[in-house]
Amino acid sequence: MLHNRLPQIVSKMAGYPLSNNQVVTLSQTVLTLLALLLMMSLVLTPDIAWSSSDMANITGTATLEHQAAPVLGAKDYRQIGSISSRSFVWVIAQLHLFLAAFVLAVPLFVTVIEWIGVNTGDQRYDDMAHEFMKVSMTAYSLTALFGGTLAFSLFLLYPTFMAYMMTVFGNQVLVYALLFFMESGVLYVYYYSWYALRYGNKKYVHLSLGVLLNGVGTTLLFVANAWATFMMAPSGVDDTGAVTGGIWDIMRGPLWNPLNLHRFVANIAFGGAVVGAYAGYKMLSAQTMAQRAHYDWMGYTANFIAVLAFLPLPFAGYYLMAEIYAYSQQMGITAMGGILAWLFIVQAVLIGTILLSANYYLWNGMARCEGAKRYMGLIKYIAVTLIVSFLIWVTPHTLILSAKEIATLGGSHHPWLGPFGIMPAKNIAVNLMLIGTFLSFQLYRRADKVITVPWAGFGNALMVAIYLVAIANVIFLGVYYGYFTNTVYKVGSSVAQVVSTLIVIVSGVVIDTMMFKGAKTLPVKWGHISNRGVYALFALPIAFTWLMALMGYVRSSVRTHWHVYTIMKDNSVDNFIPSIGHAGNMMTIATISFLLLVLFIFWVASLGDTKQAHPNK
Amino acid sequence: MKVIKNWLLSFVIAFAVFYLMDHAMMSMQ
Repeated sequence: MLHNRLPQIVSKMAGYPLSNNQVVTLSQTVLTLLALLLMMSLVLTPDIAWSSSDMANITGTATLEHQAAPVLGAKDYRQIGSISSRSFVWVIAQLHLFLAAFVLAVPLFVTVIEWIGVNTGDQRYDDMAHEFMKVSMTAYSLTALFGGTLAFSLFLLYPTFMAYMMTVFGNQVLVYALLFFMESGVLYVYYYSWYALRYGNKKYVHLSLGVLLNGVGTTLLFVANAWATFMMAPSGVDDTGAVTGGIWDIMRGPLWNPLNLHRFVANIAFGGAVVGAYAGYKMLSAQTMAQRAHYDWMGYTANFIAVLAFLPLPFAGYYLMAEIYAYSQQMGITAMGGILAWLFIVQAVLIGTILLSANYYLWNGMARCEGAKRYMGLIKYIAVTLIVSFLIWVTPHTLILSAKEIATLGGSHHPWLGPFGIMPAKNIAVNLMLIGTFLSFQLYRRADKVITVPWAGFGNALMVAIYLVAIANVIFLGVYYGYFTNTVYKVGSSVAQVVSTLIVIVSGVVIDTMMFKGAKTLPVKWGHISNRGVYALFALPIAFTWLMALMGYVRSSVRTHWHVYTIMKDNSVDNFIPSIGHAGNMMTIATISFLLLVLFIFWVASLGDTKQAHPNK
Repeated sequence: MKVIKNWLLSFVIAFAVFYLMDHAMMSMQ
């Protein structure tokens, strides 16, 4: 076999004998390079194709139709009976997006976990990665089914609008389809070859497949994001909507990369939260202590992924919103200071729920280890910080009120809404909540260690100093630049606030890694967590899903009465912003439907392990 | 004595890091 003769072949090529170890290292390097080359070609091929279409446009042999966007009338819309077309597409699109976010995210952290398994030589990581992958396989076909349903219903209900989008995007939609063939092919090979490619070089082939799968999946996400950002901030077309640029100009609009970043990070957090619920569900239904311990560890890892991805997420969101303001101040104010402003307060409630649940789970998890008693005293301070920051975050500023509400409130502007309702106060609150969550995390990681390095005193002092100075810096920046200077400084200082939080996170990880060298490890009793702690694992995906439904609605409805902002007016019967109550009901319908689908997915995933006993025994 | 030195050095380092970072982030803009 080639595999066994590889050392001789490589030695012959090199011209001198090589040891087996050298051959393995060499082939791993070659495989890694090949995987990188595949990724590069994947990213560059469409780019080259598009730039050649750009050239065709410049030289005048354009194939795209140069015509203005059509003006829509009643004949350009259809309805299914008396069901609102908008409501129908709303729910289908939202469910497709939930499922797509889940199936794109799971391979991302599965590949990382598999790599950790190879690096540490710990078989448990490999088994966990395989089990996570099993959950997402069931969701994969459901995603495609909803995608197909969404495409059909859009072409049925909004034919002229979709015809215009096809004129603009042209062959790009076929690139999307082609990527899907690749995604399916690589996904099935990756999942079903798990035990066939298990050790040595073959394991690296398997890991390379995982990297390739994520390259395809992320490219898919970015291609689809271009459609949404084109509708929000069209580029590559003139004022009438006639196509003037190549596909690259159309895709690379002002909001494309901010949305790419935000969705990529959010997908990982969301995927981690959903598989965390799977682990919680399996843990509560476990029959033996060994099973309970296994799923406890799996739930902890999933929660770890969700929280770690969630920490930078508010900053990606701030960047996206800042870019929306930079593109159109009117659009930004519609979202945050106008008709949609209340939804940002609801968002704060949901994010508060996520952070409190994640912290509650970590604090409960400390019961697994005796060594955690040293840090129990700090929990109450973190809890107070989280609650106070949460209350500042949910303080509204500009409200659209009815006369009755104004009478109840005693005026439209309570004196406390002024200082606590504006962004500097919320920036301080968000950063303090993230620093508090990271502290919970760090205490949890230290709970099962006894640090033995000689410089432990200095290391601990430095860590405490970094926390205290970072908190002081965040508050100083927010108060001084937020209340005593003008807007340019206010927005500018938020960057320094973000970096303060990031310094805490990075230095915390680095200092701890150095201090844990040669540390004594105390035993951790997996499975010894109260059931109440596990319930927090269920609260996370529910809050995440609801939050995505909420902010997805905001992202979509900032276009107000436009299909494509400033280019194509929405002249359907639904060209108004629905009441917040109606929108809330629609989001909740989508969320509950998704949770029911998730229960079905979990049930199917665990069905494979169930065997009926023979009746004659 | 060593304890005082540890804390003093830690806070000096932390203050320097955050002051320089604030400066860098503002001048970047």
